[in-house]
Amino acid sequence: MKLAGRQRSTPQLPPPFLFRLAGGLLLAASGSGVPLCGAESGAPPAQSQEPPSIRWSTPSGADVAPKVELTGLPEDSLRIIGDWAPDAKAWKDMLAVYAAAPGQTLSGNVPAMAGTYRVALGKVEFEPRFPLQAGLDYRAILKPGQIPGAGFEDPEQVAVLRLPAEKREPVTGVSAVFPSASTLPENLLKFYFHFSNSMSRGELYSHLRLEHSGGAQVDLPFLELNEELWDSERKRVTVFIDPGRIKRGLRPREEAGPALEEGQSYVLVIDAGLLDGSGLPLREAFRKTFRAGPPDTTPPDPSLWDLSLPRSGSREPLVASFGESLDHALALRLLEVVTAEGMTVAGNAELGVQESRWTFTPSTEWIPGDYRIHVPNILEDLAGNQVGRTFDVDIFDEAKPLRPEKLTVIPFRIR
Amino acid sequence: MKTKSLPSIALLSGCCTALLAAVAFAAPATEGMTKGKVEFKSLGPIAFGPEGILFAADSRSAAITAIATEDTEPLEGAAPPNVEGIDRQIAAVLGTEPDQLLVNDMAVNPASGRVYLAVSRGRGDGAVPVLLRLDKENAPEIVDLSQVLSSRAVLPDAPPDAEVSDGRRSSNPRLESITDIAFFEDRVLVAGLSNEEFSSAFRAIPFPFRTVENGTSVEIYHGAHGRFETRSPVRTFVPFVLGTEPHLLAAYTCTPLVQLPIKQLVPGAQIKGKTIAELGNRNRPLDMIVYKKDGKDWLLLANSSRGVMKIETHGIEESAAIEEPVSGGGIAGLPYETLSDWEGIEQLDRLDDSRAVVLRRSGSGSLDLAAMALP
Repeated sequence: MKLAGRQRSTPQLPPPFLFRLAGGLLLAASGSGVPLCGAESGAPPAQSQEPPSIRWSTPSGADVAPKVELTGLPEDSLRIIGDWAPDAKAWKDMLAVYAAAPGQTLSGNVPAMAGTYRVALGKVEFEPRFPLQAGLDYRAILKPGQIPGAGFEDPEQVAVLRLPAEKREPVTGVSAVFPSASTLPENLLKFYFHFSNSMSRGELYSHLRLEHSGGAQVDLPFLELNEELWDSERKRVTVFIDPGRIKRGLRPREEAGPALEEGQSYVLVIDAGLLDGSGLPLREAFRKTFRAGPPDTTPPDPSLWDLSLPRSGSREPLVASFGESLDHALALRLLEVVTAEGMTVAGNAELGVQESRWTFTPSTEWIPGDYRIHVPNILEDLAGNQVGRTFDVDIFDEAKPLRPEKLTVIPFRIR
Repeated sequence: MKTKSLPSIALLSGCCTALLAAVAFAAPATEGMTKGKVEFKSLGPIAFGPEGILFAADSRSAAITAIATEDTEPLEGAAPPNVEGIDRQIAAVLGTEPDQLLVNDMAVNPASGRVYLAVSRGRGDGAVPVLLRLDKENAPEIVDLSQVLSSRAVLPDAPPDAEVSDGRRSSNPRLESITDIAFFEDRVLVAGLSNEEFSSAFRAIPFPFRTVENGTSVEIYHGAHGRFETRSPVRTFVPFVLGTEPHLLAAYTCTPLVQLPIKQLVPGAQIKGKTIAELGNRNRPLDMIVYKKDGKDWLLLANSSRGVMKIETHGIEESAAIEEPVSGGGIAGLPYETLSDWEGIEQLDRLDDSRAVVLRRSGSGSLDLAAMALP
């Protein structure tokens, strides 16, 4: 369900906006307010003076949130209320807002929605602390008997506001999945899923599955982390294969067997039920078919990379061919071109040929001289082997730290 | 409390667990804090330190914020924390529905016994992190963070707030998810997992936070399956004291339970933890606490598929490390008991010496908060 932002929801209230209360009463709301005194309560309070009443004020300004207004209060009452502490319980005893799905009965022990109370211009106002959510009923309840210094009597008054749920077509899809190759090592460590829009958290693993080519589901192949490893924009998520299900050497890690086995074909599926950041499902389910190939137990070795050097004075790309697919995110983030003076060369890097070729195009022309490609040793291949270190190794058999250096350097010269 | 009151194995804090503050704390806990509004991009896990100091992890900001809650005394007349449908209650306060709520963590403030909850209101765009606690009547209330004393430690390798715009990269999507935090003696222990490199980042950040030293990550290894699992991330952990020696018990994502002395947690170290139990595959550790009962020391470990396991930690120091392949379902090491009446537990924390507070998912799908006698 979409969380309605203030900016989006308020202007979309069609004036007048009609909706139906549980009791079958149709109520009108306009762009300026929702007069609803006594709507669900029957008779007004037996007072000689004009009774107090509540209504939702839904200003049309984009940045102004809906709020509840309580009017018709005697001077004495306003004076007493004006002395209440901001967090006094008396506010809520008098006027409170409850959120509920349409048709849902309020149970006695549900707390009221958080918000700010104030006295302003002869009125009491309640402004909800959080944006109202489209499709929910926001029920403001006034208990006249709780108005101090006036001797009003209940019954309570109710004013309901419902922001209409927007009907929108799904727009978000899976824009890329890495690794992109159609044959992947059986000791593959992770997938990156890129989406065309920001996504919602919390339900990823319910909508993600790995199937055998025959359609049977692979049981629990992924490391299901509550955190869900999204990037900060929630447009990319990282999914690890459960390390306990990755085949090592000649035997599977667990009795359950490996998630991927050489020679078998698989389909990676994200169903359309995964919600994007606005609460809409995906345009369509995503499927990637691939075959598991031999395991990769060899760490990446930058000394074996094949370099294609640009000409000086040009903006031709520098191309490094790895001879194998490397981790998409790490290769793009980590590799750098540095001058002899240690300055990072500005430019644009891309990966191609199933993440086996790195193409670096400088922002300005190449100047003749000595350069280096810096390869931080946390760079991984598809099986999580890092430069100089396999994914899974007994480092304590080594008398010295296995890999004290953090960086591998590939020198090259532009002539 | 002072150090001398420490029992032989007793529990300090934990994942999402509270610190019993059984240690001398030299500097005032609020040293270096400034007053103002605290804001988060994301919230949780959370843990308590001494004097009502709350440590709140913000993975999106790659930061830990220490907040002086000023909640340092037990709440008089407070009801035991039992709330059926705590998710519905919290959603009501936030003006939303339970399906729009993510409860990221729960922790008990040992100074007051009050239960704190780190949640996200919303799951997608416009999601807002919110810190709540239970009031005297067990109603959730939003903790006002508009004027509080706080300090902040930014983790090394923090992603930039803004996109990098040097023309070479459009942004840095690397993010480290903080999977657990705990306070121990004079530092905040932080376990994290990157969304790119698969590695174990475990940090000990001195507290009060200094401006420069934000802790250096150490790599913890564990023996399993006859080989050494390297770089595997710690999922949840708890500090505890063996004799006089502070240790960590850490549960990995792939379920080995590992013990190591905290003094080994020095910057840049490569530590081999001792694997003392193998809890089996198809199972994720969720949360753990340690406690003492009937003169013995116990560990409770909540798991995704095995329920809550009760493990006697007495004799942990003598137990042999598991370094051989574990077969036949993948369970070995310290004996344990699965507690049949502790099903559906998603979060655990100690309430006091005899009770735990749990968040449990009921059969109907609602989330209940309950105080339970420690088994």
